[in-house]
Amino acid sequence: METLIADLRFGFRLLIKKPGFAAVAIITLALGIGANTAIFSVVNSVLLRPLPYPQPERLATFQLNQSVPDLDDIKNQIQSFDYLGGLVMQPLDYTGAGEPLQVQAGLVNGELFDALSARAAIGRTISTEEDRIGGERTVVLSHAFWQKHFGGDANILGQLIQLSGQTYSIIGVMPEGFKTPREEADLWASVRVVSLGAQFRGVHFFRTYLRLKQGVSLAVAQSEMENIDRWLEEQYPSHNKNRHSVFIPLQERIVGRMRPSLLILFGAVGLVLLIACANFANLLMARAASRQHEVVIRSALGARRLRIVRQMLTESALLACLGGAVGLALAFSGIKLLVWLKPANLPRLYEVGIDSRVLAFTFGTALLTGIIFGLAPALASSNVDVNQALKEGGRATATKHRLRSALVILETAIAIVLLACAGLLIRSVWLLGSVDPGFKPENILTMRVELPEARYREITKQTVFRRSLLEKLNSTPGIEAAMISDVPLSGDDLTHNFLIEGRPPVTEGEEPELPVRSIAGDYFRVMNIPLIQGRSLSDQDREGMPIVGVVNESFVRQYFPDENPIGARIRWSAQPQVQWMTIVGVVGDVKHYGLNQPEQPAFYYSYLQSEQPWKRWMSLVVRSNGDSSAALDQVKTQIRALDNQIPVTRAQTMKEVMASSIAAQRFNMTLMGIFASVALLLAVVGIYGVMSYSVAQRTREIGIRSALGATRTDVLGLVLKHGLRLTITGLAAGIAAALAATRLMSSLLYGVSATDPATFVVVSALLAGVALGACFVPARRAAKVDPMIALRYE
Amino acid sequence: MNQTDQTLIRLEGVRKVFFTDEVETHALSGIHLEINRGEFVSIAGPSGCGKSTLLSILGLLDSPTEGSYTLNGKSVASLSLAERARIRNLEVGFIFQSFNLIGDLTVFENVELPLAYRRMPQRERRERVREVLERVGMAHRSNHLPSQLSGGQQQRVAVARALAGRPAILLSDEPTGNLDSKSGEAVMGLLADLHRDGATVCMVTHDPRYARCADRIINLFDGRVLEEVSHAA
Repeated sequence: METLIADLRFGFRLLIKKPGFAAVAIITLALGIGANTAIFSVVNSVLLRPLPYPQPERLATFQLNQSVPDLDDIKNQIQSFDYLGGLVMQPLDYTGAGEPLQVQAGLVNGELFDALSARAAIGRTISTEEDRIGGERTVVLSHAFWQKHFGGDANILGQLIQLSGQTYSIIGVMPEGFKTPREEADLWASVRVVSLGAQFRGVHFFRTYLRLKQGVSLAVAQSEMENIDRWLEEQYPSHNKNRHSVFIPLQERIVGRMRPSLLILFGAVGLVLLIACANFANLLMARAASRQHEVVIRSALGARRLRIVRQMLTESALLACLGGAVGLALAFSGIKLLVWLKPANLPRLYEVGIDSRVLAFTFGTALLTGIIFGLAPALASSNVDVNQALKEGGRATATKHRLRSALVILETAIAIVLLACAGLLIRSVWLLGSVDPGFKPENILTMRVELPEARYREITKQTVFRRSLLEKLNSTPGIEAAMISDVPLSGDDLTHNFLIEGRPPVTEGEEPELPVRSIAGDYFRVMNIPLIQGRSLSDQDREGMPIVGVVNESFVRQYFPDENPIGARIRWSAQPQVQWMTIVGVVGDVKHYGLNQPEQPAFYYSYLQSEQPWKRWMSLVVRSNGDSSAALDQVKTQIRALDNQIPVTRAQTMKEVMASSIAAQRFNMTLMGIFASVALLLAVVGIYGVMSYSVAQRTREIGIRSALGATRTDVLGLVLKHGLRLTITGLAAGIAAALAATRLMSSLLYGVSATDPATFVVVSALLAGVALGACFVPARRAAKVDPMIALRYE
Repeated sequence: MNQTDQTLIRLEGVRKVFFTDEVETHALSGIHLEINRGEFVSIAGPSGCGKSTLLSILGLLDSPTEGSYTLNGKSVASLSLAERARIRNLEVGFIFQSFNLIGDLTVFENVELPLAYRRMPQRERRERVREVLERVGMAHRSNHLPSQLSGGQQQRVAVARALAGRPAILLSDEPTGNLDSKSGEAVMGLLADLHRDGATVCMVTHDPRYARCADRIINLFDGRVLEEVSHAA
């Protein structure tokens, strides 16, 4: 212990004596460790940390959503679970005070809170008895909602609240920080009381949260479920034909799809750390070389090799820990950046932070780095022939040069791997950004409006509101055109099973699904979607007239490849009364599901002819003359003039909608770009360091060459060639590694192959150019070596 | 052959002053010196008398503060760095006390180096290197690294390197300083042979035994020529 303290003290003294060296070593490691800590904190929160519910290993879910009646039947038969909770999110209008506000309501069954083992902080949660059709309207508030809208009133229980025109009684407040696993709800109410959809077996909108009985495995539950699936199929073939219910652990369901990209990012940032470590080892070797005389004297005085190695390891571990501490500070900023980037599909983002596991990771990494990467320099410099070393005066040996060169080659190779990954992602995002969405997004503003059920239950009322709103908006200055539809790329999606007239009969439950988009107004003109064949929809296509619709090109390709679809008729398979709908036009495809997703067959028809009273939500699409914020104000004014209790939400320009749709890809690209830039910087610093060191070591040789007639250009070329040789070797190794590594991220790419030659050429040229620049400074220094040095060494 | 044709090197009034921290050190003060073609000149004197400074000026490694220097009929006192490097490569062959072979290059590559800087075609280079290595008796060690050779062998390679470019003059700085007496005598014998074959040699030494091998001994003291002793005469 005493010697350890002495070594630490000596180490500190050396750092103070050589602050430049200490700063470079600490910053190098801090960059590597900081980036790793930031990403590890995400991996820890998202992948490693258990879900924040008691005994989270017992929580599971169905892979697909269930309908409320199906879940009831499953609950009645299955033995493997204690509780089968379910939830669907629905926006409700809160008209308590001031401007109407849309709040996110979690509509739950009576077992949801039990499944999550959650208890109310005040009052109680929704019980099974309350969760029934026509039951009392009760609501449980989130802690944040209670604080914000009721000022944390202790007498909250029993107070009334107006939601979408209905009065609810507050029965509880959840503890601070409580959230359901995948939702951000302001309050919770009974699904059967609030939602009409809860009555229909065909409405599979219920996310399930299930708690296994103690000691029961998911495999047992799965085998039990197979019988229930068969029973459901026999009883309700139209809704459950071929429907296989698969259980998966809840944690896997929440984070599973993020695992590949997170692990790729973690691997990438690990490579950054490896480059930092190579630089760190190089710095230690350079310092060890400059301390060779000290080591020789210590050896001559009787120090054993182990003692010298231990002292050097203590010093490198000290440096690494200081690097870890600075890295931790960098990680705090890194985490803020990550949260600010707000990757749309990253779950549990609110949980990301530094905890004891992250701290252990940081300092464990730092300590290991210090020991592992300090070991080689310590062993190399402690292995001295004292007699010979005293004669040589501590000149570097070829072996040490080779090791340092090997480290630079390694750094270059890793940097090219990261640059290739970043380059491919940048190309992907660029290609995604230049994808033709099938419509013109310029000057288009979108927003969501939901009509409250209490006042707009009947379809006629909804129709009057829509028509009045469009009439007002279309005559408002500054607004070129307005219409209503489901907005592409926004996640809006509704499908029906359908049949085509005159085609062979299809078994019940096996009818194909067709995405259906209700529109009001001149949708195709506003969005600039080309009409390919037939006609568009008009105001004449209204209630009481034959129902007509427009299909897209994908529909024609799939269902009418060699026929004219105009005049053909389709109908929904699950209809109380058969109503045929005639295809009157064909329009171009739009990228509805994502810029990187192919369009599916789709059917557009008029709101005026759609008998969907429950579809009270709508997306308003407005083409303005240019000023989006002014247009938004105009829309809000017109809506208030019609009904001052309807809030406008999700106001975005169409370009913002498009940007949001590739937010995940942009997030991956941004992070990989940052890692690649740090890797490039570290590699360049490494190359510069090794070349500078090499020039310093070769001063005498360069002097001799000059004495023999080498010109400055010859010397410049000599050093640049050396640097280029290292760079090209690293490039070759890196390209080989990158060709293998980039295949792992094929799933993250769009429109570019994992071995895209253009990307590889560009990143190689970039690295070679930057590396050459890094060599140029020491090369110029070498070119200025005075040839007299050849004589002075005499 | 007239007088001018015979003179290879002429120094007139050469002074060299080093300035460090406002201190002037007069390394050479008014040196007048002529070396004829084919002559073997030895520069002798105690440590600090200016021998090495004189040699560095003669070898165009340094320039005089004052005075003129004519090498092979051309004034070289104030040439550019590139021009000096070119003349050094073409006209001067160096033999250093500590051999100054480059450790990472083989014997062959070391000897080839000045020819490579001359951009001599590879085939011609190879022939020339083989020729000089045979002459110094080191052809059989062409592929060895300097660290695999004895001191005497290394110095013979250094001599071969100096000869390879067929320079106008061989400048030798204490060529036996790092050698045992047997190897030292062998190297001196080699220089004497080269001189007999017509080479011009200028050697710095403080060893009177070796100085006597030269045609003429120039004794320096405090940066001045103290006396010249001509053995040939």
